[in-house]
Amino acid sequence: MATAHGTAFGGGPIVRIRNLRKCFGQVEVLKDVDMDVERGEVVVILGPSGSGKSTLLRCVNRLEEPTGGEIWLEGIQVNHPKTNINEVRERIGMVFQSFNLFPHLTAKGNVLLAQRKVLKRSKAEAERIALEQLERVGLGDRVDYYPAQLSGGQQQRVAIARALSMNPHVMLFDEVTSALDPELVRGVLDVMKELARGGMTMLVVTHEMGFAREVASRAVFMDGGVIVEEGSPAEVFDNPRHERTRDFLGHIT
Amino acid sequence: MPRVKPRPLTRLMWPSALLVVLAWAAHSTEVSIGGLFGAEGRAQMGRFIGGLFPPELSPDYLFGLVGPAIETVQMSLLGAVFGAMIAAPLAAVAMRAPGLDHAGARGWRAHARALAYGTARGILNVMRTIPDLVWALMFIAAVGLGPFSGVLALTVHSAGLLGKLYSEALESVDLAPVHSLQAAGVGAVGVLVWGVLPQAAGPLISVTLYQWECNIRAAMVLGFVGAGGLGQRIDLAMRLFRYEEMLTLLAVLLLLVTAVDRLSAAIRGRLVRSL
Repeated sequence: MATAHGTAFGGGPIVRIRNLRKCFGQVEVLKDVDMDVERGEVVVILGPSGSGKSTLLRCVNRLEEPTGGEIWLEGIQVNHPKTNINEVRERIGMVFQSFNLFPHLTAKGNVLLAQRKVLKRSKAEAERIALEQLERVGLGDRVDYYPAQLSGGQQQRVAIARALSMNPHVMLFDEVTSALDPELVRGVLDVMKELARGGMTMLVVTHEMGFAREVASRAVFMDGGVIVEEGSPAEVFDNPRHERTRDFLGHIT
Repeated sequence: MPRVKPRPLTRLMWPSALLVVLAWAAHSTEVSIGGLFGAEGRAQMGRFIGGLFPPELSPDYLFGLVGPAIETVQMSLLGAVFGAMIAAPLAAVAMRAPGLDHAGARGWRAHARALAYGTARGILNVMRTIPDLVWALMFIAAVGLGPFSGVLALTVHSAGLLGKLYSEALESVDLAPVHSLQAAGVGAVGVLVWGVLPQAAGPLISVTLYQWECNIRAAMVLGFVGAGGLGQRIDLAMRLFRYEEMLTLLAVLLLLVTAVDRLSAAIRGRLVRSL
């Protein structure tokens, strides 16, 4: 099937971003960003706050509406007016900084909701998958707990299980450990490492340099709405070519 | 930043301005202590209060009040329920939720959305701003004297108030989990039904029951202009100088309002606890 805004997806990058621009009023947050993400890649996006990294992530599933440029997911243009954005979003899992769980639903209830409503899975199937995914993130014994009864780290792992239950083709992680107490960060990062090892395509905005070094197939450094440099973690962390990258890494390590 | 201590003169400015406004208002509205407590006022009040006793408590009379009392409760209830039914869709359109509907809303869609929002707000404002008493007068002109015009008046006024309160309840939900639904591919209607409503259910039920409580008082007042119920009896008793009936009627009203208050508080407590 070939249409104006989508073609059959064969090879090529799973996410393709071209000349992406995003303005909030007069402020240009993203200036002509290009990026390709290959299937199975773990791309870690680094940069000071206000550099546009979260906005970039939120443009991929159009939680932010791009001002200009094109974003493609598996051959479908995400920001084409004719594209049914909800069909695109079904393939993208997102985990937020603030967990974003429903307080009136249990861990299992949170993982069930979108499966039932979007994928129209039967109750039995959705439950089976919910339990499987909660088990996978190490919360098999917490399925009937409400978010308020869980630690921040556990809540975030429920959020990851929720995203995984939708069988996403790509996962977006938006500073998922930034709101956590230091001792809870490990558990969440371990789940993410496990995912990466399993071949999940991931775009990760984070300040966790250890994680980036160990897991990323590519590190991207952003500042002032542009990609300043990118490369293997070793290249970017050990031999940054740009002054701004050196500055940033010097400040946080 | 250190707070600058206002000088005494500046500090007196606002209180004295308020005093001037109050004095002016009292003068214009002919407020007079003498009028209320002077010889003439005292005599009138005495006659009225004296006339209240002994209250009319004959079984025949009391039995005759059951119908109007039930009618008043019915009017208030129907007004609240119909009002809620009209308010709900209007509130859904008249809510502003940044980040909820921007994706996909571009060009003419965005304009249509803005137009719908403005229209719904406008309708709610008109329904709310015109007092229920005026609505009742209009409906009496349209459908005639009787409880039906009272129900219509309460419906319209309740819809206006509830619409505003509903949209505020909907706007004040935590949008973070709602965004997670959007990110999973849930459409606008699903977001409202599964994301927003469950979080807003407590306040929505609460304001609806409160509106019912307000309606019972309003239903009474509407009777004065001929819209049926207990109010019509009070109006009648006043006109015929049957003050002894007044006391009985006021007691029945107090009973009704208290009963509805208690009932609605009980329902509210129960529902909110179970949510």
